[in-house]
Amino acid sequence: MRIPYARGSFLRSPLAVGVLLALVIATQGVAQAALNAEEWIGNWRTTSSSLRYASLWGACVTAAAAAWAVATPRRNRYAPMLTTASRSAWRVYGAALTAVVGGSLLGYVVVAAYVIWTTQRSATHGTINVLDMLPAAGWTMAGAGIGVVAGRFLPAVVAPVAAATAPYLLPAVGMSVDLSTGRVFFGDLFGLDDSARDYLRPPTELLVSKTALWVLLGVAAVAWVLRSNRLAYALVLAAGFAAAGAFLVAGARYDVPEEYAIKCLGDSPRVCTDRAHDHLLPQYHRLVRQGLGHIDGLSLTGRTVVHSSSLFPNAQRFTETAADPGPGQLIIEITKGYTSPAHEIDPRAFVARLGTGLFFTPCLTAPPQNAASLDDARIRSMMLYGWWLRHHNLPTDGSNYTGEININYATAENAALATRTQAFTAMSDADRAAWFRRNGPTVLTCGDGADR
Amino acid sequence: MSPSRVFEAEKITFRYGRKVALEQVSFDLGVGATVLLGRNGAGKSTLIAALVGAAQPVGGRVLLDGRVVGGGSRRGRGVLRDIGWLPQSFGFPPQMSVEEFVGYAGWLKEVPRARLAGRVSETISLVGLSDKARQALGTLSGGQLRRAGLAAAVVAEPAVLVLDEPTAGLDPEQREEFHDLVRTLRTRTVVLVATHLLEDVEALAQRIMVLDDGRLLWSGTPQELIELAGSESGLQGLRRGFQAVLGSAR
Repeated sequence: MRIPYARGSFLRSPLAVGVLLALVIATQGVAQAALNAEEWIGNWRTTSSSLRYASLWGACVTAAAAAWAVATPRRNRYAPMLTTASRSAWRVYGAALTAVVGGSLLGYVVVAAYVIWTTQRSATHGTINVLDMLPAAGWTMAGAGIGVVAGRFLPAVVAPVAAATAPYLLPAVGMSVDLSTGRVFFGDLFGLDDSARDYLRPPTELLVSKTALWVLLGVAAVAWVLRSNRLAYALVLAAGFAAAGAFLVAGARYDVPEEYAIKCLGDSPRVCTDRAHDHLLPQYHRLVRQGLGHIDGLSLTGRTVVHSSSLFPNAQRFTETAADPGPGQLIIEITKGYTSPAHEIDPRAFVARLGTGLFFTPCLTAPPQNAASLDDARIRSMMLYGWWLRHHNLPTDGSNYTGEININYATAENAALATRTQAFTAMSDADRAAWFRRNGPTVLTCGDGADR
Repeated sequence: MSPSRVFEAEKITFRYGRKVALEQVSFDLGVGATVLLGRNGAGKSTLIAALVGAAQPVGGRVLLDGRVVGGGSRRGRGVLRDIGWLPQSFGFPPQMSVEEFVGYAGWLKEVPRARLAGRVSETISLVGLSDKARQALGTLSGGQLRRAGLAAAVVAEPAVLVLDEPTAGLDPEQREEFHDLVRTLRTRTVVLVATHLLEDVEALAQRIMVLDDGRLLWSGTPQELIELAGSESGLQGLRRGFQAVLGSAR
């Protein structure tokens, strides 16, 4: 005689529930991580915290599943049969809860494998920080605890829905409190910490204590519902210590000096990033060289291209090794792609960035003091940038990257600019190369006296 | 199973909010069938829930052979192994078959794994559902479902069997079959049957307890109840005796 239910679960197949849950959590987690890939791929430090994307909805799914499982006997009106069992509530509900928690954690393992595998192909240094991955798993346990409480006390049909909202709402409330007080405190306790990790790391004590806090509270909630009140009390007490530990360091971040170290490639120009972004350096260097290939006559010999104006100051501050690049520094920011493969620089946006860096940024960082010269320099910047965009068939409406200037507006409002842009665009390639040969140094320093 | 088992209620008090559902109800039962008789709303189901560990009374305790029933402790939970319960109405996991249901009930009551399959088969046979053993519970008639419930209640060979309105909704033939089953069980088990049907009393009772408004009003044999109201016998005598008990309490 086959008695499958005698294995101890009121669910027909806890295994199927666990597998389904793992699939849902893995799918939404991978999707969330991929959608935010530009924030983490290629850098182990940020990859380590990327599980937070999975826990954003994953904990909600876990909570709903736990509530559904625990409310199932009440929904089907056989809860009294379980209440009067001589077996402990842990045994009675054990299989269902193991399926929920095990399935959820398995889903996170899949997401973790995905982000590790993806970063491994492009990261240049460092390794995964397992501790930074744990808060997401801890928040999942909290979700399970919330679900179990909801499944026990709320109407059986409502419980999964109510439970699903709690793991999302609680961090939102914490972050709202932080916003109103102007400091990071409660928001730092949840697994959804989205603070940048390029150059900063959260304290190990915070990661450990907030993971412990949510695991302990989650298990305490389960213990309380399963009538193990003394165990629940002990766990809440331990969670109190964990919370105290987390509160002590909430909001703190430590610099990682080695991430500010400078890495460079090539010369004429030399292209540099910091170590945090050196996985992008080969492509950055290549794109700069390619872009410059379109501007005959413009020489960048002796110059250094950087992705941030703070690159060298930060390197000097944190590593005390980097030499000042001098006045020959050109700032060409990096725009990473918003779609896969997002660990790469977006080539189209980069062309626009390159134009901005060559023609605009010098006038922003070292503008002429004389008003007439400043006007002339501005018009020249926009003329060159307008030509640059048209030369690459890029839109001139400011849509190439966030914060780009809209050349269309500028041209419509300034007749002189329109005339000069038209004339510059109409030049032959040879004439334009000659123009750049004559005026290149002036353009790159936003100097005075370039040909009109 | 010892034939000298004693199932006791000591000053059981139960409240729903401010409303007192049971007030200091005390009794003790031995092997045999006792009928808990009361009108609808008298507190029978509440008392039964407290007796079987499904609800925690605010006062008093339930004992089986001196051991406290339920209460959350491991020992109290262990006593529940010896108490079988057929609720007035019960649900079941969807798609569960009769043998799965009875098997699961046996698992919940810690029937040893080696004996479980045999006990499931025996009890399903006892209640006359062998030909329906693999049928889903949802496809059974009301009478068959109650018999499946009874099989689940007795699968662990409990010392105490508590039946709440066990014949409600059954046709006369099914009711008679059910009475036969309980008569078989009462020879070796403490059987407590809560009912408001005098037919059940006449068919099963070796002892009667009358509950009204949360208080235990009277306890005695069927003959003693009949004698309370005069010389009529049978159902009519029981009815008059019951009314006399209720009347004397007002």
